Amino acid sequence: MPSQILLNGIISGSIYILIALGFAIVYRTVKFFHFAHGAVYAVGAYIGYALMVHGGIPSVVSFLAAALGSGAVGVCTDRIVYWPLRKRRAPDMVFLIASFGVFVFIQNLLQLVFGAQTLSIRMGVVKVGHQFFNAVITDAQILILVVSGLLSVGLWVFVRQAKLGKAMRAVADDRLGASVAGIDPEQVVLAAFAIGSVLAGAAGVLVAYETNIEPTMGMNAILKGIIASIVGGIGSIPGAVLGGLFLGLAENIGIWKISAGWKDSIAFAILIVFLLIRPGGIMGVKVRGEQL
Amino acid sequence: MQKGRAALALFVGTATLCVALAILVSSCRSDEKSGVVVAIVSSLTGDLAENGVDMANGAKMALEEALTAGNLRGREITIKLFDDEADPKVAVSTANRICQDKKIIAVIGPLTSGSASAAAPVYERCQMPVVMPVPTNPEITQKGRQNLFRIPPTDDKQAPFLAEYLLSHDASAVVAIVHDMTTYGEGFAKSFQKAFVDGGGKVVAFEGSDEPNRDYRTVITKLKGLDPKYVLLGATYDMGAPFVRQMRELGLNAVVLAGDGCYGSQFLKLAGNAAEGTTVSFIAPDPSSSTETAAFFSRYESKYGKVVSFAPLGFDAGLVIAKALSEMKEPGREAIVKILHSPQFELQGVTGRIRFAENGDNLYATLVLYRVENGKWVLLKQPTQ
Repeated sequence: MPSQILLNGIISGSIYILIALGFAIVYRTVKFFHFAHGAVYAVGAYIGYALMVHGGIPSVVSFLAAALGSGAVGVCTDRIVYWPLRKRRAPDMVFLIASFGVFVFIQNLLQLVFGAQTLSIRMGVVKVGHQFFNAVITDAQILILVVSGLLSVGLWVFVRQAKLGKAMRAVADDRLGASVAGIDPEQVVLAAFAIGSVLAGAAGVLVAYETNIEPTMGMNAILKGIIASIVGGIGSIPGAVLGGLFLGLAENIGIWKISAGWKDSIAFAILIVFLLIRPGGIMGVKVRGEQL
Repeated sequence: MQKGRAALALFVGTATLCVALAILVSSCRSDEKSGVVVAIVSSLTGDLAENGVDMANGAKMALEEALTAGNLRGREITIKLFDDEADPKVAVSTANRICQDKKIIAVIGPLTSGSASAAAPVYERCQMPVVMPVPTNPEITQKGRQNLFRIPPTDDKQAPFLAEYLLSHDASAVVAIVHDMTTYGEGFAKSFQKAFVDGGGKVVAFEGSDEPNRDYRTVITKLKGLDPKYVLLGATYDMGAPFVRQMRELGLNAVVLAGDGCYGSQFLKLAGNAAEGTTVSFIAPDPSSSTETAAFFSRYESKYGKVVSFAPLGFDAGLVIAKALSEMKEPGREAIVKILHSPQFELQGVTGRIRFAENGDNLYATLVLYRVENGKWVLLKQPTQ
């Protein structure tokens, strides 16, 4: 198999990892599918576009601003939509529908502000990428690999070591127990939305460096993120990394010999196989029936 | 609590009533206008919005010019714009709305082949004359429908035209074909493949790729192993631009060939210098091809800015409807269909002569070739009949 295909798989896997990580960290604490996560990812790409192309702001600053801006959008979503629902003890289905609503709202907002056409952050000359073990890799792709790797490791260390990270694990395990121990679950939920959305925003800008941006880009991203998260083990941090990588590689190796049109079918076939045979994912997370 | 609920129910009820009343009043008001309505259906938002708006502007301009020139027997016509977002599902619901509006007697549009074929049965049921300025999938007009008319040449002409050009230019070339799995893209790719292989050409790959996140690297890696000299893209620019860019980055230096879907300024903008050398067939002429065409381009530019792609075709579709309206005493859907089918109905548009064959295709549709040189579309081959 050409090493290029492995590399393509790892790169698209790295994006899935970032989305799945953000999704997982939110899912752990609130226990519902935050679908609007996909729209937050698109917001990241568009903030990056606005700052870089219209504002002429250097790419590093734009990247950070886009990630933080997405974080703010995630936090606002929780405060404005989910928090009032939590206070009313709304059932899970209501959260799911609300998150769809937020998704559509943000997607349409992006369309109104930026227009529906395809946009591109990338300027300058298109040239052949660098040679790397018989494969070609571009600057943007190196950036994707490095940022995704650093953020994954950073997040893992944070959840293991930092006080807030430990509090997150506590709330994820037992919300009531954690609050008895003096942890404010609402603070932890807020932190989870902030961190998760920053990761989504980062993924959005990275993809924008690499390809095009469209208001509808969030849907496919969140679907792949959710698949990666379930395949890895829903809500698990190492699981999100393994699931993302597995999905990226499986898709790209899968279409090496069969037509590329099957790519999405491969992803969903993997999802179904895992749900049937190993619902706990690669990490073997224990799931109660009603959680999935 | 009871009181609160009752108040809420009262409020919701009143609000609903107000909205219903407002809708009723506004719809009455639009009915007060006299005369007939021509609907322009295009993709005004969505991925292909730039092309869609261009086409709609062209059509609008033709009808407005006919109105001001008084060519419509003093008749008052209203132009209504509809957006189908280049989505076949929306196209069908739009078609249903249009059919129910008795004032609408003709439709110009839609933009894409997918929308056109999805909405065609609906328009047929209400006998609505539909003049299509852009859809090129041949099958749309091959189903025996009497009410469909089309200005541009079909893909089964356009793709073979491109194939013939390649065969005459570089017959031994190895070609890889990639399409975007849409009605247009796959149809174009298949049609090219047939003509090229029948003419003795060699095709090494035929791939479909539907990529919402625009990552075509694995497909390109597969093509690279086959070392094609040309890559044919059956796709619109939203796939075409990232595809050529990723091709160049991965070091696949084949010449890209494509159909009308990749023509336009948006392709150049998104693909940057990776667009160089890309050769496309197109269904509307260059401004320099005739004095009428040049005049159209300057009139359009003073009104809407630069022509993006399909404005001349939209304009010609508008001319067709304007001419039909000027020739009839009692305007109506069936009367227009009848006039457009009559062998005497012929006109000179900005894209060439127009006369409809029995199935509604234009007998005189023209094709040209463009190539990207120094970041601009340059005419490579003059119109052929």
